[in-house]
Amino acid sequence: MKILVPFRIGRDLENLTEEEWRRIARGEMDLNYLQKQLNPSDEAALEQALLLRDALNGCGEITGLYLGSDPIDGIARNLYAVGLKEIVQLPAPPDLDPASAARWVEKFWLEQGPFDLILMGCTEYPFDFGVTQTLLAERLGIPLVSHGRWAQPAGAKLQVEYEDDLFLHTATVSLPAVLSMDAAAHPYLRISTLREKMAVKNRTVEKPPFTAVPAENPEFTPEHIYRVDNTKSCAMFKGTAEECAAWLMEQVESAMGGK
Amino acid sequence: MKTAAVILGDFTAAKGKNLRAVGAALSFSSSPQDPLEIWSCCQWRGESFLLPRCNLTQLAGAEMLPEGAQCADFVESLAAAKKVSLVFLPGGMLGNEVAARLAARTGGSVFTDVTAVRQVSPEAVTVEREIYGYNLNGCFTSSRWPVFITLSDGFAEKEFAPGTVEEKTVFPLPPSRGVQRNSSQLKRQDTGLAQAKALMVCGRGVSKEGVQLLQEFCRRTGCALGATKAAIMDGKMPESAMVGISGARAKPEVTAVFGASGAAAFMKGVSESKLLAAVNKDPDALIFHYCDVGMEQDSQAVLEELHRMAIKP
Repeated sequence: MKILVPFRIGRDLENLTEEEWRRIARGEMDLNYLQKQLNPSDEAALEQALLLRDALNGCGEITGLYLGSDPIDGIARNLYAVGLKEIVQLPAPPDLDPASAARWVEKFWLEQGPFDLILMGCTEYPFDFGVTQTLLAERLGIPLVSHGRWAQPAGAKLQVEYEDDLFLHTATVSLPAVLSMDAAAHPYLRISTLREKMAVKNRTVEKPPFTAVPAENPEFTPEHIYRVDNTKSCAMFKGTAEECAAWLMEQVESAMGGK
Repeated sequence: MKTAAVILGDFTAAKGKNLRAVGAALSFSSSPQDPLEIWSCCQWRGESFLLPRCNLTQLAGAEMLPEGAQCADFVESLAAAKKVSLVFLPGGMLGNEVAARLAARTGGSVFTDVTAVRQVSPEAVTVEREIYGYNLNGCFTSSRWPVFITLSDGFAEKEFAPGTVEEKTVFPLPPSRGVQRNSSQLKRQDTGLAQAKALMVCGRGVSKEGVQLLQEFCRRTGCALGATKAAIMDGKMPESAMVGISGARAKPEVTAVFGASGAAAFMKGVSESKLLAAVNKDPDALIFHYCDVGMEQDSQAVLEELHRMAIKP
């Protein structure tokens, strides 16, 4: 099985302060200085690809496709160490919109494919439209399973568990197909051993010649960005753990009707 | 311009999403004297709410939500036949997929999880939606028609008067292409979190032992127990306990959050609490900017005390 996993590199936004968010909204802060991280949604897709390869006793080839211009040597070495066959970098602009991303991946598919399965995350950094996988499936004319939780090989097909807003489904999917991962059963990428890392220390990212796909969808670029002020005047409770607990208990009992 | 609303059938759990889509389609219709086009992806029994004056088309043979491709086939046919240029859909998994498919097929545009519609004119549509992990808001404009908009749960519901269904049509379920369902089960919708009077939430910073203490505390006091996505992904709590954008949005009298950093997606689930208290040993924890009362304490220590108080005879 040949699996293609397009992935993006985002920035770790978890610990930004309120003031930093306001500066970002005003365009005063360059996010490139923040720590890089795999788009968490795509991380689940990468791990699912590895699980499929495991289920096939190693008879699966995984190609990672990075859409972006950041150097990713460290991330790439880790991906090689956990078992990706090839990592290709296409020099896409940083805020690549979903429609353009779908066209880039489609072009890669046509030039380097075919692949049996495209695995990707459900949301894209930074604007979180969550539509790249759908636009790609439509362009390629292949089935899409969105919000997948797990997948396993089933002969020439794939058995998947996925969800929609109300239901949890299992299904058999004909290949080739697109599967996007959301609340995955295994959301984190496995960790490689030192030996595995040493074995791939000389591997590099492939950068094939590739004609950029022009962006044609300005509606995916925000005209105006702002931060809603949700801050509160937080009163810091000074006391021991016991005093804190006693205060909380009092609030709970009051809320529950004096139980 | 002509608008339409897509609804997810008559499921009670989808009522809010459906109401938002219908209300928005009514609000932005340029011909309010005409019945609204309402297209239901499932059978409509009329049990969850009363429709406004409308023409209702429903997918036949769909006891549960169909595949996104099937819904898209259904809506695409209707949008073309009825010359609809602005379609509102419920936000979420199915709606976002259907809207994106429709934009791809028609050459139109898609906006997902929209929190507000700023402007609709024959030239363009401008919407607002959350970006950067729900930390910022962005305004987006498109003049590429038709436009398919899915509405976030944060989109304001617009009230409407009930009316008659003037035309009722059944549309045959399109074939499924490449995805053969083997089994389906309704997800547990009512976890009690949204109706709780008092809510305890454990974050990633709470140990497994701490979670057990909290579970016992909640069992004895009647509080609801929720968890952040991070705590659930660490296997400390089941997915049904999730609070936040992907889980429950609670409006309790009091919420106490233990060991959580205060990520924006989580805070959406507790921001409407009357009193929000946070316990975190990190004095710089972001959550202290967004709560009413902060306690710079080790969650384990506070939980042990709470547990002791709860089991005291």
